[in-house]
Amino acid sequence: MLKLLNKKGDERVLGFYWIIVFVLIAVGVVSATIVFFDSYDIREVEASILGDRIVDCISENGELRNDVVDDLQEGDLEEICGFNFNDDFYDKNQYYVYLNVNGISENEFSKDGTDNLWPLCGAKDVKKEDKPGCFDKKIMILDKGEFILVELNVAIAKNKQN
Amino acid sequence: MGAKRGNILTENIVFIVITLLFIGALFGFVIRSSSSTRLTEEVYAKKFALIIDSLKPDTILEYSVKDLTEKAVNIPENQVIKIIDNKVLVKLSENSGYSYSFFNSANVRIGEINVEKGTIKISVKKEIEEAENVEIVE
Repeated sequence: MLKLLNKKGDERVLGFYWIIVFVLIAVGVVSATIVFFDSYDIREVEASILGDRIVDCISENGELRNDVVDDLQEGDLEEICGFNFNDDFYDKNQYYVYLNVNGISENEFSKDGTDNLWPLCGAKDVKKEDKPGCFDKKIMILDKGEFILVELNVAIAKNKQN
Repeated sequence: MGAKRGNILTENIVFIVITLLFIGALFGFVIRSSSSTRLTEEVYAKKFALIIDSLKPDTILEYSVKDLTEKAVNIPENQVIKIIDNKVLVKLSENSGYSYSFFNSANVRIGEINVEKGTIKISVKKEIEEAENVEIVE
């Protein structure tokens, strides 16, 4: 019985396993490479820049610009702060901004249902491709000699490109 | 006895050669993927969109684009990076191109690539009239 288990047979079995190992490594490296180099997600950085630009818009030298905050209550964020949220690549608006100045002035910029974006930021059961790039910030700004709290939430979809 | 040893050595050499070819092929694939035209276009379009978004009005910035010019094929240097409306378009060959939008509504202009230095200038102006008067000197 032992004579049947010759060395050649053992090597052939080993060779078969080597092929499996090679295939597994190849599939792993190729899929990892494709996933890694598929697309660069810059939405969080983009959202953080947008957040900083909004703070720059509503304040000057650390002081709150009450005129801008008042304008935002009725006017359009794009127009007042100098933004252009149009993107031909998408049919709908891809930006969501929520700004709360000391609980007194509350402003929300959302179009085409982007108010649904912010709840997706913290959600755990959302697919990676559906998750927006998010940024939130709470800062203190001087208003007539007193510090007031400004809360800012930004979410950017642009899922197809990130 | 001698023949058998020779056999084992041949098998080992064949195995090592196949393994090296396999590793080489995978390495080549990773290198090729990391430096593909499409990826370079995407990276630069997004980089420029972020730069433009973060620039404040009345700013001129000079940025190195050596990698980009080296990969451009049959595309004039002034056509590699373009601003169309509020989008950055990067094009390295006639059959490719990638665009990404920026939200800065200021007037953005991109100069021609300085071939010697391998840089490009981006200017951001608040008013359209002001921007038209600005000359981006290379």
